[in-house]
Amino acid sequence: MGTASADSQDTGVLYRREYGRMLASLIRTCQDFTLAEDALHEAFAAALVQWPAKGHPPNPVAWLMTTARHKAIDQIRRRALAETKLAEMVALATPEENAPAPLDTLRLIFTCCHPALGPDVQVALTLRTVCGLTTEEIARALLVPVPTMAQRLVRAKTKIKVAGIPYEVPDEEEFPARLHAVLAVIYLVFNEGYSASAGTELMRTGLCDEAIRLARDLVSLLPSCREPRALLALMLLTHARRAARTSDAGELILLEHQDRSLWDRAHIAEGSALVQHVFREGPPDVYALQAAIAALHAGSPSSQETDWTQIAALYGVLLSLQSSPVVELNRAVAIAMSEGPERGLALMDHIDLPGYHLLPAARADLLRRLGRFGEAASAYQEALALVKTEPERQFLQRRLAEMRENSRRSPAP
Amino acid sequence: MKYIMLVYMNQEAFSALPKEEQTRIHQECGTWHDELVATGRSTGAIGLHPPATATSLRQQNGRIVVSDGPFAETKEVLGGLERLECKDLDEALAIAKRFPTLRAGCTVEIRPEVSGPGECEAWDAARPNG
Repeated sequence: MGTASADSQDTGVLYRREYGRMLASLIRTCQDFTLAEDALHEAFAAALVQWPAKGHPPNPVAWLMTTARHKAIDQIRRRALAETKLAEMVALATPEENAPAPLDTLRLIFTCCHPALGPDVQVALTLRTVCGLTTEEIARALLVPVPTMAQRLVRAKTKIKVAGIPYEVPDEEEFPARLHAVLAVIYLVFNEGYSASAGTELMRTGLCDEAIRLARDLVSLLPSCREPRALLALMLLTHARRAARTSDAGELILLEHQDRSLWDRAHIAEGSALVQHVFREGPPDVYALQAAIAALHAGSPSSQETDWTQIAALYGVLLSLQSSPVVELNRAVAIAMSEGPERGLALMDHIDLPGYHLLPAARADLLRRLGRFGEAASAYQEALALVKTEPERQFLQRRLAEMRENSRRSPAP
Repeated sequence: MKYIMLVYMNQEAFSALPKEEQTRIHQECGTWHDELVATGRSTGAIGLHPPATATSLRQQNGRIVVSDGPFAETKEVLGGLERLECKDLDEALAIAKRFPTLRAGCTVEIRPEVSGPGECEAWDAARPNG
């Protein structure tokens, strides 16, 4: 009994670690997403039955790859497509290195993040195939009903096949734009985990871990590219704060009030070293700039001692690369911290961000610091009308109550 | 793989261009197409007259009704097609990216061609909210 469950646990670990890589290799040999997926699942199912009975094979990955290849051949035979799929059968039957090739993983990532697929689909497909998450896990993580997610994945695989989306790393001309799309998907996965757009939990750290793992893979697959390293640094430095971001009751704790001893020092050390390297190698991109900002926060013992002037300057550079009202808002906050709340408020008056709760929330905070409690209260109310996650709502509610209490005690002149 | 490249013209944007630029774009389209034919990437092209010259048919209450033009006035209208023969979507996209009329505000759409009657079932499965 004990061995059996230990076995299935081992197989589970193997699945999590190797699924994406093995699938990538199989897709290349059989040129068919669905066939490769089915065959690999069958191989894992066979392992769960056979390994506890006959013992683990000396090389489990090779065993799974060989079994999956045989399962794929069986499937092609069953579908009676033997004639038309002869080339694939030959490819599958040809003995080759049974270790998944890194290049295949890279191909798979680029296929899943192809611009011919919608952003939602890119995210779901990457989590499904590269990370090996189940449809149910992805549906839960992205707050989509399971049947909707299942259908989204089926359609994506159909489109890859019917539209002829290649299983290739793009050529030199297309590479920069396509790499950017891959990084955007990874960052989207991370952000969906870090600041869940809806729901009762503030973070779904599983998604953050997947994003970091994907970035690590990409860094090792593309060692000469700076962008994946910058993104990895940004995510490590942001994720380092995870334990300090919410209270035991699940309430949001702002950067200013976080217990910095809870920050993940290993993540910070790794992230900061990566940023320094990336900055030395050439002009920073948007990820490197954001990582540098995160590194300044990470290296500072408190909010008061943070180099807000430097942070405001980095946001300024970021704005020149990526004009965005959210970046403007962050810059205004940094300027408020270094030059005073009035300067920040003046800048925020010119920011147009309809529907985004953090703008009224940031204004409310500056008004609070200035002792303008009545105005702060109405800004908090504005933010409350827009906020979507429960921990943030509770935080704003608490602040609103404080403002009302304060303005009762000291009525505005 | 066989792809059809659909060209949707933005009539406003195109007619706003100076006459010489319009002529230049036409000429460049010709060169672009000839090259594709020479390298075996195109198996034919079709250019269309503007929608003002069109006649539409549809079934209404069990009767086929013939009327002038398309009903919906849209800014983008189908201007022509190019039939491509490519290794994969990326090759088709690379060809389409070089299409000269893109700079006159047209939209280009690439669709895989249905290769046999069996593939028509795809239309049933592709309902947007099915």
